[in-house]
Amino acid sequence: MVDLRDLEAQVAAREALLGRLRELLVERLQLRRTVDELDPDAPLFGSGFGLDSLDAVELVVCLESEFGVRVGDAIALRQVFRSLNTMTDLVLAERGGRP
Amino acid sequence: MRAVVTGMGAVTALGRGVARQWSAMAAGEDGIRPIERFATDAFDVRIGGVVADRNAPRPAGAGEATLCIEFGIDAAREAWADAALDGVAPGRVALVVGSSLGDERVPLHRVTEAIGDAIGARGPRLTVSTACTSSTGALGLALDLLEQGAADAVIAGGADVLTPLVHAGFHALGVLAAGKCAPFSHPAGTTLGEGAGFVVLERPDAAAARGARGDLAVLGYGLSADGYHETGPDPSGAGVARALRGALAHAGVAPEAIGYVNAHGTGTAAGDPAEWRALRQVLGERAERVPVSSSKSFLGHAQGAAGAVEVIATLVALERGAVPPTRNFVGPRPNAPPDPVAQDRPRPERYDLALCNNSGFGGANCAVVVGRAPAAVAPPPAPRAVYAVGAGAVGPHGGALDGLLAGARPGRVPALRLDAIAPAVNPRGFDPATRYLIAAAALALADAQVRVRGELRERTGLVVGMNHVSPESHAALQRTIDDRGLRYLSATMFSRMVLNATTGACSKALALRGPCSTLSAGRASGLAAIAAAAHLLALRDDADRIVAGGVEELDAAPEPGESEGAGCVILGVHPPPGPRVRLAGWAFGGPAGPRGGDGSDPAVRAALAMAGAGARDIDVAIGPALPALEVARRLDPVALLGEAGAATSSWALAAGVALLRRGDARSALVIAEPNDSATCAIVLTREQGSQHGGSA
Repeated sequence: MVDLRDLEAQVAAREALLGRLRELLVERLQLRRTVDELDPDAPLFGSGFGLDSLDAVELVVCLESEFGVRVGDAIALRQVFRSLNTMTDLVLAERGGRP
Repeated sequence: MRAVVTGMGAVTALGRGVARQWSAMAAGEDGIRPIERFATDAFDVRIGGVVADRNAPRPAGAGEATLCIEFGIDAAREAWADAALDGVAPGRVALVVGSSLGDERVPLHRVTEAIGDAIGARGPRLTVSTACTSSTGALGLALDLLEQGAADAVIAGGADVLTPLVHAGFHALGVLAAGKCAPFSHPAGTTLGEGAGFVVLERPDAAAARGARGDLAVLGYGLSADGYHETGPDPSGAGVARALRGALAHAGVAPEAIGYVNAHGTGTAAGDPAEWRALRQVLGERAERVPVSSSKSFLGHAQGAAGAVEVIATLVALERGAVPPTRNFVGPRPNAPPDPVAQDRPRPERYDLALCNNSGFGGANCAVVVGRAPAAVAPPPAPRAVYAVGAGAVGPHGGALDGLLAGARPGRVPALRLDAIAPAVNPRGFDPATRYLIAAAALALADAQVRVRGELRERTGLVVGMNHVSPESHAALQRTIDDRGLRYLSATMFSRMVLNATTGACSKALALRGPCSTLSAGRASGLAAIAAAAHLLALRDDADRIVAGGVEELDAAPEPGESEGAGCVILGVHPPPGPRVRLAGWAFGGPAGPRGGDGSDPAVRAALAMAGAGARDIDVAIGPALPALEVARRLDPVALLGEAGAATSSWALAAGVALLRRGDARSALVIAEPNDSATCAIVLTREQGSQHGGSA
């Protein structure tokens, strides 16, 4: 049986992490949007937030310097940087699912 | 115009002196070694093409940056001694230095001035800063100075040094190879380098008259902007191809005549394939057979000095009947040239002409044709008339052109609505310098009623005068280093530490993909950029229009009386209908200082002579008061708008265009503020013209 308190804690941790990633995106990539305007499922590159490869470099540095997470090859990078939610998934997975 | 190479000098990872650089390459040695000068523990890559006798940790107070000027002086001295040009007057010796980051402590033009002082060059001393194409562009500008008669000899080349910041920046971008770089080969990645290379260039007739060697030459050059990305190349290769075509056309050389290509070949996953696509587009059939190698496998990537040291490597190899090889080549990556000369030592082969190419941050491309000077030379084309068909400026007065003449209290640019001036431009992340330049350029284009669309994009250039990078971006980079350490610096902010980042952003925003450059000449920067652009338009046919001007951004604590902003003019060869403003004369002179003879300024004298005018024909002079110049009326842009560095003289020219168009004057002489780099003067005349204009 699922421990509801545990689940709530996990949801809260995920929300907090997503919030932090949104802040970092606005701050480091100088997005001209407020944090609330960033749809966590919108594509980061191309038609979504319109990011480019230099922004991708910033995101790699950001994950490493803020969360100690290193992204491997270019294929992994594409998966991770699909959206804010996929980035959140990676950081959570690297933390072993723990906040 | 071609120029003969009468002297060469180099300081590189392979050693000191041109002879040593060749003997090391001939012996199959490379100069890539562990970096010992600064700590590299925080990085995954710890090697570089560093100058061996300057690889020890630096004594306190003598940071890495000071080495840029030292390398530059050493290489320029060797080239000057090699040319043995003793009889020439110092005022007739020009210096053009290409440098990407220079000495991080001082503005870039100070590097050029220091080298010029050390070797005694008192003619125009100009700086080209177009990232990794800087010294290639310096060779091109040197050809133009000789063609204008601004000097009898030009010392041209470049210098850059590998600093912890550069290493960290390229590391963050993820483009450094773990081992020594292997251009066109597996694995991808580049290796940084440093050093300096200079050549002495003279007109062929002048070199022959003094019995100097005249067998090697720089025959032509080409410039372009990708207008695509801050750091990466246009993957189609279209931008590089425009520079290659420009160089071949300027040299009057067919692709079949090219015997060897010294490629930029940094080894990166994006750069090498884009360059090869461009070579295939331009050289056609010839590309499948021509040897294409990258000297970076020996020297590392010497940044702004790369072009000059690679041209020297090419000329020395050509002279000895060999093609320089590509070291470390194990197997081709997709889109690699079929003959990369994959070996450790030069390959014996006789050829007369080589094409050398470089590309850099900001989407800058520059190529040169070098080799054995051909006996017969096509006569130079008749110069085309150049008109100022539009002008725009932003400054403490706001954004109205006439505001330049009304004047304003010195200071910052008032709130700027870039979205109203250039609605199609996405301004995300622009620093103030970039906003000012784009605004002034867009206002000037609108004033000229020009819409840059379709193939006009490839035939519209951009030449910008600047003295330093954006203080705001510089501070933002420093904050990321302070907060997170050098390893985690912001790659975006690092990419803006090249002087031409602002130019690159403007070319991308407004789709200006023709000939593109960024110059520095102290307080003459803005006018120098406009004069250089006028020469490009008058004597080449790879552009119909060039946006040219200057930009200045104040730092956080400006002095009273200082201002900021940008001024741009649209230069064109198609005369607009009705009354129009023509650039009747332009010229460069040496740094301000004691004048000989009648005390007149050599730039003013030469610009008036080109215009076929005397000082008394001039209705208004715009610029500083000159003791030997008496004119009916004078406007002082510094008194009107404050001291705005690289922008001041571009405002002066834009003001002149406004005055003449209003009919307030029929002629104007625009003069740059005195400084230690160069003087510059432009004569504007009002012509009546026909109601329909010309469409030549």
